[in-house]
Amino acid sequence: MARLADPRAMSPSRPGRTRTAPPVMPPLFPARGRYRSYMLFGACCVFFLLSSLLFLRVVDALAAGPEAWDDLLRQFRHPLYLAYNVAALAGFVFTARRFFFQLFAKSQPPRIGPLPRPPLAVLPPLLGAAWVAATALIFCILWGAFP
Amino acid sequence: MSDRQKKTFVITRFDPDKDEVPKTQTYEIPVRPDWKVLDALNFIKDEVDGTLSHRWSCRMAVCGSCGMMVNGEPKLTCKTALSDYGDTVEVGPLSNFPVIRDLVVELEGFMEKFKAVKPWILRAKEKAPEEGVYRQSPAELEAFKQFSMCINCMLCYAACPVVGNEPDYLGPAAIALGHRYNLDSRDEGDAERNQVFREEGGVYSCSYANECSEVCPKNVDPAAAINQAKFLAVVDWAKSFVSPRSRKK
Repeated sequence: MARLADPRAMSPSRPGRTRTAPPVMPPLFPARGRYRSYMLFGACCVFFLLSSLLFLRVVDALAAGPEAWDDLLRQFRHPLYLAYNVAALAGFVFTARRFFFQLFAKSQPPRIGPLPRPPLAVLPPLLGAAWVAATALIFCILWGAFP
Repeated sequence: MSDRQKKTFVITRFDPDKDEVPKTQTYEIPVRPDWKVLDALNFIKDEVDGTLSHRWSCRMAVCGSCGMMVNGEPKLTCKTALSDYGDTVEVGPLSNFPVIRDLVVELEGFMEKFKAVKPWILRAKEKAPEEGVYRQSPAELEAFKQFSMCINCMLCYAACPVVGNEPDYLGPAAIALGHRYNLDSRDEGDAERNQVFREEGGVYSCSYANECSEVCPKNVDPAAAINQAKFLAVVDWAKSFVSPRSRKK
C-alpha cells in the first residue's frame, strides 16, 4: 500500500454525499521509476548550497591576503575536499543535463516578447555549444592561459 | 477459449458502506492476446464479479474516463495492452484522488480546479454576431494546439508528486488548459488567469518533476505548459508595473 497523500488532495471544497477512501501518493513515489531522477535532481541542490558557501570562503581568503589564500589552498588539498569536488562535479553535470538538455527547451514560451522561440530541435544543441564554450573558457582561465 | 492464457488481476476494492480502508481482491481469468486492461476489467465485471465498479466509456482513448493505476503507473486502461505485462497485473484507482468505490475516484475537486483557471475565451468586449467571426491564422492556432488536446483523463494528477502533498495546487491539466487560452490569439483574459497562476497553489507550486508529461496519453506535455506559464506570469507581473492597464492585443 502506498503512503497516504494529504487527505485534502483533490477533494471538493464541500464533501460529497458518499464517504470516500483517502487519497494515496503514487505507489512508485519517491524511490522508484522516473521519480528517482527527480528526487536526485532535487537532492543535488545541496551541492549548490555548499559550493556557494565555499565560494564565499574563497572570496574571504582572497580579501584577507596571500597568507590566508595559501592556507586555504593547503586546506583544499585535503582528501575530503577533493572527494567533495568530485561528488559536486557529478551533481552539477547531472543537474545541467536534466535541466538544460531535457527540461529547459520546452519550458520556453512560443513567443518571448516580439521574438519567436527558436525551434525546439535547435535549442538543446545551442545550449550544448554554449555550455562547451563556457566550460572551455573557464578551463582556460584556471589553466592560466590569460595573463 | 483455446487461445486464452490465464492472468491474475489484483484489484483494489473499496465499499464505502463496509470498508474502513481499501483492500485488494485477486481474480484469475482467461485473457486473449489482443485484450487491453479494460477488456479484462469488463470481463471480470460481466462474468466473475458484478460488484466491481470502474468507469469507462469510449474504449478508444478519447473520453478519458478509464484512467487507473496499472502496476503503479497511471494509464488509460483502454489503451494499455495486457501483453505488455506479466502474469500478474495490479489495478487500482488513480493516486492522489479520494476513492468513491473500487476503481472510481471523486472528480468534483478536479472540476473545481478547472473552473478556477477560467478555461474559456475571455474578451473585454464581445463582437456583435454581424461583425463576423474571430479569425485566426494557422501559426496562431499552432501556438496552443498541443495544449488543447487534453482529454481530462487526470493521469497527470495521479502521477504528480506535488498534487498529493499540496491540496491547493491547481495541477497539470488545469494549468495547461489555462495556458492554452492565454496563448489563444482570440483571448484577452491572460491577466486574469495569470493572477490565478501567481497565487498560492498556482504555477510556482510545480517543482518540474515532468511526470505529468511522461504519463500523458495525448502528448499534451503539461509540464511544458506549466513552466511556460511560470515565465509568462512573471512577464505579466512585471508589465503591470510599467503599464497597469496592459492587455494582450
